[in-house]
Amino acid sequence: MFVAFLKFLMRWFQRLVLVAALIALGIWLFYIGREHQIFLDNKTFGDFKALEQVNVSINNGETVELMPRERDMKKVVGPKFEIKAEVFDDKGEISNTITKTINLCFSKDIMINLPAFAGGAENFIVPSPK
Amino acid sequence: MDNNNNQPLLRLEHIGKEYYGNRVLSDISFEINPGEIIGLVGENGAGKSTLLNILFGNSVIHSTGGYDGNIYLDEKLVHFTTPHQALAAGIGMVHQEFSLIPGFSATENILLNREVLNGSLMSYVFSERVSTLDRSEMHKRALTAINTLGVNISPDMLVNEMPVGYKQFIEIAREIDRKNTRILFLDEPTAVLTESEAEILLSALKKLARSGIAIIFISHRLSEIKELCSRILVLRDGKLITDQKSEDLTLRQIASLMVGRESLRKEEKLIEDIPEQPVEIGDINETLDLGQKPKKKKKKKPALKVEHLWVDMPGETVRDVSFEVMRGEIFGIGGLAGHGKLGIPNGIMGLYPAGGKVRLFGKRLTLNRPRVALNRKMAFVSEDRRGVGLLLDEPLDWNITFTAMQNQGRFLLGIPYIFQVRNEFAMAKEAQKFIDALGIKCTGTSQKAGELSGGNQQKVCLAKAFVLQPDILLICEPTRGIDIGAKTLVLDTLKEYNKEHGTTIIITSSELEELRSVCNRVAIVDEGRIAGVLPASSSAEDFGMLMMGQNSNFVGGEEVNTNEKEGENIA
Amino acid sequence: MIRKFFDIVANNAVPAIFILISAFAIPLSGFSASYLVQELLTRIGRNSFLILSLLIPIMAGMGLNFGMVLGAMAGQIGLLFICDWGVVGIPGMVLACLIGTPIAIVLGIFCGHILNRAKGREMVTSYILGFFINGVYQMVVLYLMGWVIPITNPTLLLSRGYGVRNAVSLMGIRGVLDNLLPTVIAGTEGAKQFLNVNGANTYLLLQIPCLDGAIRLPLATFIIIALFCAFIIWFRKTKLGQDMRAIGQDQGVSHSSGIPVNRTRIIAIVISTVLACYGQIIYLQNMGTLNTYNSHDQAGMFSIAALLIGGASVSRASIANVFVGVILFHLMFIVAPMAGKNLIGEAQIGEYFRVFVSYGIIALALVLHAWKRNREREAARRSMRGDK
Repeated sequence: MFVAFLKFLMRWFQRLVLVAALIALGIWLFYIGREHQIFLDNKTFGDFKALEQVNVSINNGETVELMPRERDMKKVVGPKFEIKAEVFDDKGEISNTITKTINLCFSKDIMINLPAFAGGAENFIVPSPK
Repeated sequence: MDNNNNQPLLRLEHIGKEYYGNRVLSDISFEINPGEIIGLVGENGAGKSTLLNILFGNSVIHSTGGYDGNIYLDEKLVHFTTPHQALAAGIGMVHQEFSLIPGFSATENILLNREVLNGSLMSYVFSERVSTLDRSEMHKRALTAINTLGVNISPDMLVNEMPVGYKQFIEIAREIDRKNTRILFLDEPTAVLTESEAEILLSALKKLARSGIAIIFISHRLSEIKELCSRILVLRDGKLITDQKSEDLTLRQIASLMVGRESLRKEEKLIEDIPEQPVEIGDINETLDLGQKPKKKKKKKPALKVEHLWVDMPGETVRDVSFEVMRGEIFGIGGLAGHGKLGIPNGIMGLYPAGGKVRLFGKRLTLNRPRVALNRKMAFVSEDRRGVGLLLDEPLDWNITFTAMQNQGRFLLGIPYIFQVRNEFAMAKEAQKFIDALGIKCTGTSQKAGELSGGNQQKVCLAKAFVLQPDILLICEPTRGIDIGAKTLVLDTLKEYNKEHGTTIIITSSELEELRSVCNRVAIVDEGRIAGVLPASSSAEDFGMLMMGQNSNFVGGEEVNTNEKEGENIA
Repeated sequence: MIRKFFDIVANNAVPAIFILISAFAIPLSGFSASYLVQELLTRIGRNSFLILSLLIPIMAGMGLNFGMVLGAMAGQIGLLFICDWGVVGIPGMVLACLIGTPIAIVLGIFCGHILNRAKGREMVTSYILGFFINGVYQMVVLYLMGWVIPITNPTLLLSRGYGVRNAVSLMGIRGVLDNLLPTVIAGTEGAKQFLNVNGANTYLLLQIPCLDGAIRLPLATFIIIALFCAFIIWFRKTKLGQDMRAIGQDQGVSHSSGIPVNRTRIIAIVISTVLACYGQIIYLQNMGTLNTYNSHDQAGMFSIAALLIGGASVSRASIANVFVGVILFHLMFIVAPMAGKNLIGEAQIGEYFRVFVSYGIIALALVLHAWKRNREREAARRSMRGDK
């Protein structure tokens, strides 16, 4: 009798583990499969002035040119991505290149303020538009 | 058979059963020892099925108030409320209707729901049913069971490709494959077997018994019972009449014990007068085919001549029936239930698929056409009052006159084929005539038929047949479910009608006494064939012998058969 | 002898008729062989899974599972969620399956219980049940989503703020399974052309010299379908499969030998519903668009029609029936419009055929099934009589 009960318990325990594993799998898929929208904003943010021109490429993809007050959007699948920004000064030469790997975790869309980003500030991520 | 501690394997003590006040089984007590083969004999209605249901724990017993008495298995009190409990305790049952899956092989059927499984990890997590079957192991086990019986069946043969006899063996093999089967009940196992198959079965059973399994063998075939069983139990009307060693009983004694009802006869006063209608000796001889030359050979044309009739009526199959009924005779057809006696009139009347030759007053009758039968002035009263006999929601005058209206165009006003209406007045008048004549208790001709009691409903069905003024009247189970007083009335009515109008009447009934009291001659049907036709005045024993498959040729009390093994006194 | 011939004809009449119609219509339509093969391969990949999900209830004697549309709805709900969350690619598809599974299980249990109360009338009951659950689904999708059930993606919702719109783009998972292992079968000429256009790196290329043009093969989908077939074959060998086969032939006998008839029937329906859920997801990832209120409607009808055309019956169906059926059914779909147009100037005839044939073939199968069952019962009684 006791053996039967133990078997019963073991079986349900294993089923619980299985269900938990499936839920974990679901969460993991959600994490790695989500498509995020990265908004690139070339606008004055606090002390950082809008850049003359900045070329941004994400994950070594197509480069996007942004003039002051321009905004663009790029899609990215997965939580981590690499963003490379090449800042052009008035003379048309690259004055600064910043590369960073950003981990989004569970947030969906973010907007990167490029002046702040280029200026090396910590909080370059601003609330994304609705 | 030596048992370990000399104690009986199964012991019944004062077993009884009552269904809502109707007692069907009383004070049954007997014992079974391991390795014994016991024969259980009795007419239908004697209580055999009830006893089996009790022993096997069928829910029909439990849900209707349980049973009286005690059952001891190995001297331990047991009480089964489901068949699974009985199975677990080692009691196996082989029914008459096969419990087999047609598309499965013999192996799969033998091990149905007890298959051998290959364990696996998945089965641990989900359930055992996810394991695959170990077919080679199953094959071995099936082969073992089949060999224990000593028959030659391939385990891979599909059941629906097997001859009927083999299916029976597979059923038994299934029971004995269960490791702990110690008692086996077999309910009419030879009913569907050919002679050779039956012999194989009997030797297989003997082999089983030698290995220690006790067998209870129910059959109506006397010769088999005598050959196989060491002890015979006879049930009649719910009581255990006898429990004796098989060698101490003659076939006649068994038959007489099974059907004899000396005391009852007097109580019911049904055997008042055997009808005056003379039946020539010559006719009897012809029917019995004795080969004796009759004194006066009167070539009288029979009213009904049936040759090699078969009928496909589920439960009452008719295989090959031939008989003759004389004009003006009251002819009875009797026999055990399920052997085909009800199939005969239903088949002749065209209610079920039938074949063979039937001649009505010398002319061929088209089968499978009830309309034709009715037009040839045959009337039929079905055993299924409520289903076939009556329009329950219609008033009595409708019911009584309806068939005549449809087939003979009576009780109608107007121009035939163009415009007709019911003649309500004539309908009511006719209905009232019969209500008075038969004493039908009702509130009037417009009462709905469904509201009447069983006996009165039967009278309405009779009235409906009489209205047709038939030449031949086929009646099935005329007094089923009717109280004593009404029974007598119905039977007397039939006798009177026959006397007054000379109508030939063919009565089919499971009550032998009834037939013997009303009919001139009675035919007994056994396993779809006529076992014999005897004058009604023959002894109950003689009829009993016919029912038990003793297709003997005998007149009166003399026996000319060779079915008995030991030389006995001829009564 | 004659009876055997009659039986063979009766069992295979339907596929034969379809082969005849197709043989007639193919040349009329003017399509090239490679076009037909390409279309057929795509459609096989798209539809086979759904049709395969019908096999298990037939094995369990529950007839054609019109209730597979419940699984389709469960799958669609899963897809709606991943669209809302923006999960794309293979993870998106798998996640949709994961979400749809519990919903399909619940719906399957519900369906199974109801079918247990309607023994002998399972098909009609499941058909009507499909309509009922369709109503519940529409209520969930039209009212509860965006309101009680949080849906945030504005592209999904109707302009009033709650309720899902009818056409939902599945661009995120479009073709992900099909193109997971992109394979191309081409003749030498076609191969060169193909590589010129598409680049050599990402494709698996099989060269068959005489072939005209290039044919894309959704290899990953086919592998999944093959796995499913293997699953079905394995399932038949298990005790559960054996129990279902027993129940499918005789419930009374199975019950008296201790098989839990009702429970097993429910399990059969649940498995079928869950697999229909996955099948619908595979179907929609190939289509690329989800018609929220319509996509599941004909899922049951067409799958069942295809299965029957493949020679299956209400009581017996095999894997071969599935593939023969999907090929014949869709072949007719592809060629009938063009053949009709070329023959009598009406392309509409294709649509007419599609609907007429689907319903007609189901009606025919049901009638044949009832007729055959009666014949079998009579034959059984005849044998008990002793063969007269």
